[in-house]
Amino acid sequence: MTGFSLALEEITLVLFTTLAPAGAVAYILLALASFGADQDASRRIQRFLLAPLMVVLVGLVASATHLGNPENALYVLSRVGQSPLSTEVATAVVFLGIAGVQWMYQYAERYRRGFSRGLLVAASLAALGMVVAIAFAYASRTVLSWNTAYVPLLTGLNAAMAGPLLALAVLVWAQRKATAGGFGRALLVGCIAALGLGVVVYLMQGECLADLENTYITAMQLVPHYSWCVVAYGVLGATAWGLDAAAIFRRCPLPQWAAICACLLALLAVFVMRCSFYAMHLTVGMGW
Amino acid sequence: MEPMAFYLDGTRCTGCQTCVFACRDYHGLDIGFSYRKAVDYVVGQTERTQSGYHQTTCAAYAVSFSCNHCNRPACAEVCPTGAMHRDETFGFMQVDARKCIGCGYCHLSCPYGAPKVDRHLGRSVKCTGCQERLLVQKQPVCVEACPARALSFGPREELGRRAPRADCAPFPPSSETEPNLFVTPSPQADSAEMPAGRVENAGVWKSL
Repeated sequence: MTGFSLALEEITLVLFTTLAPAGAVAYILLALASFGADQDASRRIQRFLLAPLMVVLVGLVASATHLGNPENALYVLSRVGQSPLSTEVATAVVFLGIAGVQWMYQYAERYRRGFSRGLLVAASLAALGMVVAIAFAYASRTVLSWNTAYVPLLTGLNAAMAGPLLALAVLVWAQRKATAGGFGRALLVGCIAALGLGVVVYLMQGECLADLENTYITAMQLVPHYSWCVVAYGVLGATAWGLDAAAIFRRCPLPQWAAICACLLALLAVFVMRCSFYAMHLTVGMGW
Repeated sequence: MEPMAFYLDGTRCTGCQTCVFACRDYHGLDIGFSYRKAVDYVVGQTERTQSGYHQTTCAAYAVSFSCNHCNRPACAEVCPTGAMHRDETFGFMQVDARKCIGCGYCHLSCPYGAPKVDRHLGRSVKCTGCQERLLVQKQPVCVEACPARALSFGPREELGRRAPRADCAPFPPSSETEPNLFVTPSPQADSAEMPAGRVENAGVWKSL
């Protein structure tokens, strides 16, 4: 018996925690790209901000499907700041709200660049807040394997690994030639650094898991294939990075198929580890 | 009303599961699911000595438990809607069906695995302490059914004088959630802080 049955039960949450942080980081990076671009390119990039927004939205909708009674969801707002899950949902709603308004504003007849940028900064801060809230959403003091420093750190590193590749895919889609320039290279450097750190922290988490147990089961019994999952994470992440790096570090235009494949592989790498995360659920007492 | 609690006499519980079946029957639950669980905890080992004899330090005992309506309930701390709340009548933790979204975080955080999301109802379900029976001066059905009289129920203060809070394996240390389950431990009882044994029939409950 392993914990992967729980991961399967919570597959919609696996999707949410894979997609939403990556989408949020991609949103922030694209916002930065738009600040550094000329007016036309900037507006074009801002119109393509819908793409990371949709990624976050798909994650949020997926997570809502696991609810038994979504019609009671408004009560979630009553415990913001008290329940980590409440805070997570509230920050996601704030981000999607501001980012949605910012995107629609691109089509306003009386467009003001300054106002649009202000909205973009607000949406980026909200995106950052959402990533932090997701990172700490599972910090329940009675869940041994989740209430560790590794969990929020890894949520951030996953987002920092997959987010830049998603941002690059959107930039290519927006036909911005600058992907082969300094910004594209900076994104890839950030991605590989996050991937390397991620692998190291996952290995450290694996060491920690070896000591975790309750009277029912040990954490390693729950995730017997943990090491292979980390290998898959590293290989998928490195392949994803390589697909983009092959073009960008040779200062060639990044083909659209390569950018999309890289992005999907990176998300798959995160998905594998998020499955492991839910599978390793182990409480201090008699639950797993 | 006084806040109430459960009591388990670990020197009497045989793990016969009658409490489990009574709970399931009374609440009309599906086969394989019950708000109350009874598990067997085994500690020690059997070894063959150099002279060929077998020596054992094995000991086993049973415990019965459900939601312990804790004083520091992890389920209520994480509940995003406030649906998991303390009912003032008997001091039990109850699920407000009008607020529960069925996210299952209460189930994930409870160290006793007590709440569970009923996918048909779309919300969390758990031991209610058979509140409707208490209101007509009856005992919870599990307590009434226990053939060994190992389970009982009464005012917290009174039960607290009889025994400490559940603080032996396989339960987590009582400091975690301050369960309102008072336990006279089995003579073989293992430490809750550093348990050396295992629940041997845990899989039965996990598969339900």
